Amino acid sequence: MATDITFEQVNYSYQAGTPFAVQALKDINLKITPGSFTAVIGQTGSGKSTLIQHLNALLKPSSGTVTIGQRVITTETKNKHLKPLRKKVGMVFQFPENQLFEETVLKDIAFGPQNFGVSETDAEVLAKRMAGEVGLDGSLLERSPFDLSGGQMRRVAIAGVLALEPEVLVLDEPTAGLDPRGRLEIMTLVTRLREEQGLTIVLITHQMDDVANYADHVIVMGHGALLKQGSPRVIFSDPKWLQEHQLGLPSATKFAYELQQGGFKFDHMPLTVTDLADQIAPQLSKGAHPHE
Amino acid sequence: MAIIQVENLNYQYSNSDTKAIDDVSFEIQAGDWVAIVGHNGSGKSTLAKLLIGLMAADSGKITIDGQVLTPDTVWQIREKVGMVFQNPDNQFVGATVADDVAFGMENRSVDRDTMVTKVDYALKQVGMLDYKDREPANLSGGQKQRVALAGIIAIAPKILILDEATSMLDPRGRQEILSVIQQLKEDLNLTVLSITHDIDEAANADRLVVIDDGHFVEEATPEELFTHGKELVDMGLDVPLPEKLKDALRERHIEVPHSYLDEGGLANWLRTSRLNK
Repeated sequence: MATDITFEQVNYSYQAGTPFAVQALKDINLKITPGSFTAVIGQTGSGKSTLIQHLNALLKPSSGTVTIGQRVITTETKNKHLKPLRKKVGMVFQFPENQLFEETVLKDIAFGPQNFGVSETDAEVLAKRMAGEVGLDGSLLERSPFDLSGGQMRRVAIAGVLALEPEVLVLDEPTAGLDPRGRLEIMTLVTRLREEQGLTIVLITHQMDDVANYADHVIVMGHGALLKQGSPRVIFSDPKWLQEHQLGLPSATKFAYELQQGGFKFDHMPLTVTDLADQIAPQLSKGAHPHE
Repeated sequence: MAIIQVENLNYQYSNSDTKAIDDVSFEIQAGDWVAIVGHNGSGKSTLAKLLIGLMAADSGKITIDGQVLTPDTVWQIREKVGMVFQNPDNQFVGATVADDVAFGMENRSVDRDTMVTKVDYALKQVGMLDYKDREPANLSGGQKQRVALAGIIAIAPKILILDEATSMLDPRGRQEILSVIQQLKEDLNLTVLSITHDIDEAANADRLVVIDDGHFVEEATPEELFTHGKELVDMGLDVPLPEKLKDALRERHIEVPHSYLDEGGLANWLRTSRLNK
């Protein structure tokens, strides 16, 4: 019952048929496999957000097909009967706290499932479970979501999406605007959801360190086209190409390239600080490690 | 000369038991770049809103460019201050990007020819001239942030307040915007007050001010503050890579310098400590 998502020759234009038409996606072919963690990177305006809105048919391709599980979405697809799809693929938008509206945290989280026909009682049971899942304290459930901090509001919004019990969780820059601690908390949560519930994760991010630390597949977008895809190791092995496309490296990788100029040798370019330290420690002189 | 003077400022939200800003005093000199850092909920954004009179303080005094902030002077003071927020959607008004950039000037009765020149100049500075006739709603988050900044560049304020303004940009875009701001600061003797979690943005500042639970905790240069290592996370900042790497090397029994080294400094130190064979 696992949900594969496949794009075949997908094109999409905003304001199609008007003088303002802008082609936002060009001939996209890709596959997202169940249980994978895919990072979508690219400059601002490269088509990342447009791409992910095709993952649950919020946008339909101008041409080409998007296949989500058994459903095939084309430009002809009617908006009817898309509900099961929206339940299967949960979407957390940028600044999701802007979508909170209910009187209490509990009601806000329970709103989604009720919308999909779950009874009020069952939805609240589900909401309580999801609040726990995202690390919201039970004492917050009867509070207004608007009295919470930014990081807490974001958890409420994520819990609301999780309450739909999706198989795929799509997040558009879920850590933007949070401080480093809040960022780490959200990324730890996302990793846990994947490991414990087997959720497929699709993450838009500008944080190359997050790509290095969490993703197993990377999609690079540029000017509406898919420029490259592969593992983080493959993507970050070509700094010149990344620079040409105005993309950065994970901080440890970037530093390793600098050290390489200074004579350090690397078996493979490290993606994390741990990997970097493992590789350079044996290359340092005795004077630098007197404890040996 | 101090362009911003804050004396014994206090503010408490009506639904809260504790003060968001608790007896805060400080001064910022004209032409300085000061970054205010602190974790989420420390009071940073509240302080910014008080400074431009979006909210009124419970007590205390704010003096901007020689004028005391009061209900009578708030409009004059806002003429001198440009502010870019975290989420630019909250500050868009124009039907096109160009209209939006012109909006601030329209409020200041700038004539049309000057306005057209300034709109183009400002959009060019932020790399968005090609998007002049586009609808702001259809831009990406980072592009919107650039347009918001262009709107501020066009009115050439004395003080620029950035409230997490680069948080939606990709690393390259952030670096570009920061160098645009650095250039403007030098050309116009602009005073910059940036509220940020970003270590690169903080490193651009002349001074860092740490705020926690509404109090001023510490004031330091970026170099001084960055030696705090893991404590930086409590201050709402990331630990810089050189400090993380030094920690990891210490765990591997390598003796590393205690003083703060930036990436170049640490690379140099590592190079001189490298085995030759």
